[in-house]
Amino acid sequence: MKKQNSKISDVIYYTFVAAFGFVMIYPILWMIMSSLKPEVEIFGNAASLVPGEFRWDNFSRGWEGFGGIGFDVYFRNSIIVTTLVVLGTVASASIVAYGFARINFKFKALLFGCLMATVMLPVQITLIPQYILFHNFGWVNTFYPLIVPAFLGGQPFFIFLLIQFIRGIPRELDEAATIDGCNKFGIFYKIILPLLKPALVTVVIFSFMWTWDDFLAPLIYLNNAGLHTVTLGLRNFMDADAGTNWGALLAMSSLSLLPQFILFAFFQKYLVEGIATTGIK
Amino acid sequence: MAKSHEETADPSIYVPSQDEDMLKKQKKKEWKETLVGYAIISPWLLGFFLLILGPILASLYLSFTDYDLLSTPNWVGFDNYINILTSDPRFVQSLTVTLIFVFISTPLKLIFALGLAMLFNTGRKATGFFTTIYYIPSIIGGSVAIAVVWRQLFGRNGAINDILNSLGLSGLNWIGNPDTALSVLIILIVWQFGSPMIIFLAGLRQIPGELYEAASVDGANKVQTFIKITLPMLTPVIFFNLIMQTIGGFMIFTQAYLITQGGPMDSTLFYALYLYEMAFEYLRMGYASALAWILLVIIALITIIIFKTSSKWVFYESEGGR
Amino acid sequence: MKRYKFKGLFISSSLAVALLAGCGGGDNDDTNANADTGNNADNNAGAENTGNNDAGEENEAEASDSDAETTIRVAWWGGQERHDMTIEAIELFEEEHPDISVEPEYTSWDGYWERLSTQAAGSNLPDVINMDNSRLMEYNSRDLIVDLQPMIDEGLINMDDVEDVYQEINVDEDGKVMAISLGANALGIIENEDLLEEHGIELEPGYTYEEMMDAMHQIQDATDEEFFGFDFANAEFEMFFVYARQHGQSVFNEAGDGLGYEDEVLVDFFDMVQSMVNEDIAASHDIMMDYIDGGDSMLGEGSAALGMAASNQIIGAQQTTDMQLGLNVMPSVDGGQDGNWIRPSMSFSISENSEEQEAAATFIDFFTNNLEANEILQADRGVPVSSTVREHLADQVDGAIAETFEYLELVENYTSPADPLSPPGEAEVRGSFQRVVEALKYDQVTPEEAAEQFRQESESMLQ
Repeated sequence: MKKQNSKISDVIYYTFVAAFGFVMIYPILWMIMSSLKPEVEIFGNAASLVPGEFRWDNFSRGWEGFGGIGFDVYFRNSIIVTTLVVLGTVASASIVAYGFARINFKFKALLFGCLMATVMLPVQITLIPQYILFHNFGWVNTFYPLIVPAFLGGQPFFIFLLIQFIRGIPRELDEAATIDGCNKFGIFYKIILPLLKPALVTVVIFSFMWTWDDFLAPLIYLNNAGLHTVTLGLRNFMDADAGTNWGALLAMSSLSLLPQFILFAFFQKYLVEGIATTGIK
Repeated sequence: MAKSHEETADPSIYVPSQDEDMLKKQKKKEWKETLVGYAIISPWLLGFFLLILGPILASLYLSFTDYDLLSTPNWVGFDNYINILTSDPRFVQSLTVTLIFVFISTPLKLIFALGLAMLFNTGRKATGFFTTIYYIPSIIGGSVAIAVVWRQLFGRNGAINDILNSLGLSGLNWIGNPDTALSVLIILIVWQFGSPMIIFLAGLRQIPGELYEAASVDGANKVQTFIKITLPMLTPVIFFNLIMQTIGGFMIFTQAYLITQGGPMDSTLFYALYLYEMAFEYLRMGYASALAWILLVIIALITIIIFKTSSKWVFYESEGGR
Repeated sequence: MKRYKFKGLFISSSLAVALLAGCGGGDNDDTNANADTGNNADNNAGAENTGNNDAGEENEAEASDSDAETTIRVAWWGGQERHDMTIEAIELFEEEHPDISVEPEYTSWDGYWERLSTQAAGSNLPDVINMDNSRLMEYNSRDLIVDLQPMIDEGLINMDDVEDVYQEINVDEDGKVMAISLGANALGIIENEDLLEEHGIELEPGYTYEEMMDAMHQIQDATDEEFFGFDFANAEFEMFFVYARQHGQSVFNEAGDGLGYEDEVLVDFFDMVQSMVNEDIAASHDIMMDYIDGGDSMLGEGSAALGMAASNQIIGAQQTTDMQLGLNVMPSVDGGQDGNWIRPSMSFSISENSEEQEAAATFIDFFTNNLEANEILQADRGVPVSSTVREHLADQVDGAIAETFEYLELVENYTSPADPLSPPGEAEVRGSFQRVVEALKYDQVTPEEAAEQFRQESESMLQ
């Protein structure tokens, strides 16, 4: 009897999750399928998901890029920048968040206010002064303006995120470690960091996504075509005057989602590991 | 309470001399903790003072000038602020649009995110697969492709109208109509509920399983468990998501920039879009900086309100559930 | 220099963390774990090194590629085709001038001006800048671009074959040559010739606005298919430029600090726009935008018979359709004047902060006069301004490109001397105009109210 019940609820559950899931990814499916269509069919036969004829040349044409610099270069640049930004963000945000969440230092409230203020100020506004600053450092046309801030806690969103998660970790654990003779750094490495794994995975996923999708900073700082990232490459397909190469744009857009998709599919299983399984007694 | 532990934290460094009075000890310990604290947050401190504070102060200064990006700024006092607050109908329009957007999309997005996160936290098979599926819309985020895709769905000859037509209803150009354009963008943003969903999921996984075991021993049903355990334990994460989605809502830019450019008839003129237009299209950086600081004040006020009320409903395990 | 400081900092801070992170218990496992962490952090810093070296190597590679002594940065906007053609022409330039290497900086129109103004703020403009007519005065009034006359005098830029008409609006009131035209175009009407023929309509140059509207009515009445009539193509502002000039007035006044027309003219124009939409002989605003953003063309699919355009846009439009498109002059006003003018479609300027102005001038000369380069460029930026190049190309191009060549000869009969370039702030005024037109097309305001609102807004923007 009970088994029967759970079977029915399983059926309802999976039907709902699958149906709603289809609605969720329909737009993405549309994009991927359209990237296989010939140009006239993309808009002429928009509602149909299945291409009348499969065209792979959207991919090969798109991959070539512009004037000898292709998407292999763009992908390489994006991967370099994104990987380093993710590393920097995870390293700096986790320790800084620990400091804010667990240690009472002077002017903490004020500094926390500053941290939050930087989350609230629109990026467009500090763009120009920051450009001038980095230009004076001689950093224009290098990856530094994109990478260095990440190592210096440059994405305060993540610091705030981790603060919230650390505050959810029972303080008794710290206290127990203190009794065992750990200092503050020891507590961070031995207690907090392992427990923070699900949150850190979130940080990895988000900072990867944001950096990968970022358009503004690469546009301003990476002028040399050899340094362009994928987002810049995608925009180069578009032009109001001369017309947009939709097939190539959609093909490369679909490809550009792939790294994020793989990363997420790989990491999402670590989201499962919470306190429940990491052995809090 | 915490003090006694800190005392033992590092006996090798702290050597008490016999005659020191308690106050001095206390002071020294605070001083030490401050030092450790600053060492720990030093990466951010360095970044803040080196890379962020300067540009922020510069933008504050520029908001009192007529800076046009191309020539040196001239001081104009409070002119920008006065003009914005007294005689700028587009400021009022952009603020109205943004407020409507924030107050509708934020709760919707959070409800979807929490609901689906709960659904994926049931320990059933293949939830990982479905989590990935539901997260995919967020991946596409601010990609240029989103504009194309969304136009295809909600455009005049798009899929939505195809469905409506087959039901015998007459569709309309959802993006081109001033009455519906904002709703289309709201749907887009709510569709991307993957990010808060992941954070909720991480939060749910952090709730110790023993609590649920204890509850089921006590014979609590699902609704009771949700209200008594899940919700309270999740409040720090709800609080975080609420703050971030609200702030993010005020700053929404890319989607509108790519899809509607604020139109038709300014019906999707989000605040950040207006600010951007002023700064980079019309080269009124001084004016745009003033707009940014006004936005900062508005967001800060709302954030402070949420923070203030948070002590009433946010439950921190580490603080003994005060 | 500074970069090493930062790297050192990462390493030392990670080491410090590793050292400090000891636990009093001091069992072996702990120390190992901590040492590991330290190493990892080190590796991170090392990894960063690699990334940066990569970037560095690339620059070196580029530099050693051509043994170049001077490097110039050249910026333009466009889509894939223009990027490809321009880069090919640049490669040819580098072959012919081995001492100069060119760093291209290209992007789409949307990001272009944003990046350029950021670079201007940082005094880091590219040496050669692709300029648009609407922005030229803005950059000129801030002294961000240099006078090219001395370079023309020195013979660095050879303008012998370039007729004055193509360059005159690139010269400011003080005689400063602000830019060199990259090609000429003029406003015009793209016709769907198949559709007009089918309905037996022929619009001889010199036709009036009324005749144009009658023709649209005629097709609308006769056809059963979806037909929108006239496509404004979001260019109502440009259309009004011509319309005002046909009434002997101009959009901006001579001094560039206000408007130069009487409201009556604008009210008439707005009335025409509004009634065309209301009478179903022009596409409504949402349909127009749907086509523009969706990448489709009403003219191409035959749901519009006529549309506003700059003459070189026919090249792109013809590529998307099998139907025959053609160029015609703008409608005339009965008893009015000639309102059109030939203009640079876009131009090259040299930035004030450029340290390689001579090389930059050589580059501009190459684009202006080199036959082979212009064969590669395919008149994509407008009809070449050098008569030698133009004649050379005229025999080679066909189809829509040839159409643009012929059109410029035709339109010359319908031109009057050009107005001075639009004053700085044109972009904002244009934005205001478009908002007013939108409201007009949605029937939210009367032509009188619209004209009044536009005057108010734009005058406060220009002062």
